Amino acid sequence: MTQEDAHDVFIALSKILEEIGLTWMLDQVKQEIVHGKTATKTLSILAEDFPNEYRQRRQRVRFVSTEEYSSKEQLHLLLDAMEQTIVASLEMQKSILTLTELAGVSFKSEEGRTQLLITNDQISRNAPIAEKLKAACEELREELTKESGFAF
Amino acid sequence: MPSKQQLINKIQTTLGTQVSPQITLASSTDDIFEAYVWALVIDAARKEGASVAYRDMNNPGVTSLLFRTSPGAIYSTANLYTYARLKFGGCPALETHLGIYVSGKSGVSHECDVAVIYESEADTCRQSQVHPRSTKLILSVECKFYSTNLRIDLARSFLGLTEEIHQRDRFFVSNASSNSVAKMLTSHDRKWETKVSPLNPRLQQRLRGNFETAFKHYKARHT
Repeated sequence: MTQEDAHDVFIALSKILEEIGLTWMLDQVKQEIVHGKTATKTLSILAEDFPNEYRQRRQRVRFVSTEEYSSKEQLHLLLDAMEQTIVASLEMQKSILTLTELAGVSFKSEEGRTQLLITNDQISRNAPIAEKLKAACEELREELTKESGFAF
Repeated sequence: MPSKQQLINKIQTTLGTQVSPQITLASSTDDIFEAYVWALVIDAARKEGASVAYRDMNNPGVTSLLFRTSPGAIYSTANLYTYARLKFGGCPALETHLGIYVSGKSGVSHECDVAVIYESEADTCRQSQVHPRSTKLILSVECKFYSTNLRIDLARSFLGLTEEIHQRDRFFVSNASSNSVAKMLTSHDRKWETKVSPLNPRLQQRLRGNFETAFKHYKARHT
């Protein structure tokens, strides 16, 4: 997949996620992209560059900086976020019922508004979504590692 | 080789109309993660030999769980929220709660996502309408659900929280990760686990193992 392909897929997936209400997740990904990735750089510096510090005439010093994510890396971030948010959440719901050996979980605010209800039936219905999405994300990740462009 | 559009379509078809609205709310995924970690604590206690009973304020046995969506007081009667009673032979009984306030060293109340406290303390608090004291907290977990890397301010907050609610068996747990958060918490000797999810059984097991160790120490102190 080329960098250009990765950019196009990122845009297309963003639209899908916005449509289903996962804007908050997309925002977290965009914030991470704006923040950039942490990188270290080793610089060769001269003693006169730092008059207040004792240094040898020339030294190699490690500095921390941030670098921009490439389009492929941005798509990687989005795929990871999709998997962590959607697939992992569905698996967590299943784990709650398995670990507690109970039939259902609900979440209710103190005002009495039920916001979430997890049952075994619902988990069974959601299982194929998690599996399909995980497979699709993996397929896209595989394509990301390939250097060539997409076949159309 | 599938085309770019084919892969996009596959994701659209999967998510299109079927994705549960529970997942599309940020608050729901937070709640699910906290409940999942709560269940891991219960499982660790069971594996360490505790008998487990699910209860609420009025019922000694419940068959489905009811949790808060935002932190509340242990004595709140707004709804009958579930907690787990844990009993290790020869040790005082414990309760495991989700999203309750505890009072810290300075007398200020703090939210505990998962809190294991003495049953005697919990009973006193329910009767007297006060928050449990952090000195009576056997184990607590700060849960963070994120779609991307964790921000460093989360580690800073956790350091502050553990100054207030003591440091022994206080855990920072997240589904996400970050090198800076890991570095900072390690250098301050705090307990943490990141990338915790059922998709990562090794880390899930390691976290449960850490909880088991906390219960092992609890038993050793009381028997």
